Amino acid sequence: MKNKLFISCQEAAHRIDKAQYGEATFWEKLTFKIHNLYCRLCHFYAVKNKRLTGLLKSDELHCLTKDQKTKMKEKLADTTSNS
Amino acid sequence: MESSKHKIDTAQWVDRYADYLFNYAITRVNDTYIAEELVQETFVAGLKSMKNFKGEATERTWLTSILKRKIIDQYRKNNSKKGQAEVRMDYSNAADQEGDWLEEQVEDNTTMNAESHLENKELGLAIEICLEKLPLKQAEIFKQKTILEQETETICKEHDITASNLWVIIHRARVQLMQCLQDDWFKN
Repeated sequence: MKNKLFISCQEAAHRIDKAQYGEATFWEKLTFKIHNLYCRLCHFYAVKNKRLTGLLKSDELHCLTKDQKTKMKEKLADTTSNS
Repeated sequence: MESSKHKIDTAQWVDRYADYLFNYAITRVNDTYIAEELVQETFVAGLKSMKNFKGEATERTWLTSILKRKIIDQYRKNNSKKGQAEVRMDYSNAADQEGDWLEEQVEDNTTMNAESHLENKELGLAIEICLEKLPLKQAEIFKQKTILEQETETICKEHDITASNLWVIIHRARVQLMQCLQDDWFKN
């Protein structure tokens, strides 16, 4: 049953992750919060997960897009073939 | 391509080290375009001087040392363009010329946050090192979702995976990242 109130730890973990990206529905948030009331492990996972999101959202984390990396690879391949 | 003495897999360089080096560069030059150029130059210089790689350090450390030199060159280039640093002072009235005017004029408001800024820089690099430990595809999907903030649908199409697969990958990446940061960052 899709809309059950009590969920497994695995389902709770996925919903906790989705919530970190703002993609959990109201129902998903409600169910993992209920789950966390009686599951200490998932409760701690949610706390640590929230902390990780905070760290990842610091301004000091950047990465290159796929296009930028592709261009880099092409230039490197050119250099290799020319040398 | 592989060096004669030590195995160097240059084909993997961009996927493995580009983001780490980009983070390293951007926190020092504060310019996305220049940082990208520096990373590119680092790889090219690495290719040309592969024979000098003795294998005493990791590839990442070796490439970072090349990048450091590129950054210093960049600073030199910038300074030669500017000539010298300028401190502009505007005196609107006589009262300006009394008291701590010099300190006020050259006050560096960023000093207060220097420590936390430095800590953030180090944290950014620590996260990158932890991300390197993840399988390549997992790390790539995690970065697309978390750092580049791309839509779930876009990532799924690009990697030909379902949304459920994506969330499983994200979950595994987050768990490993938490563990790695716990071991390497928080303990120090």
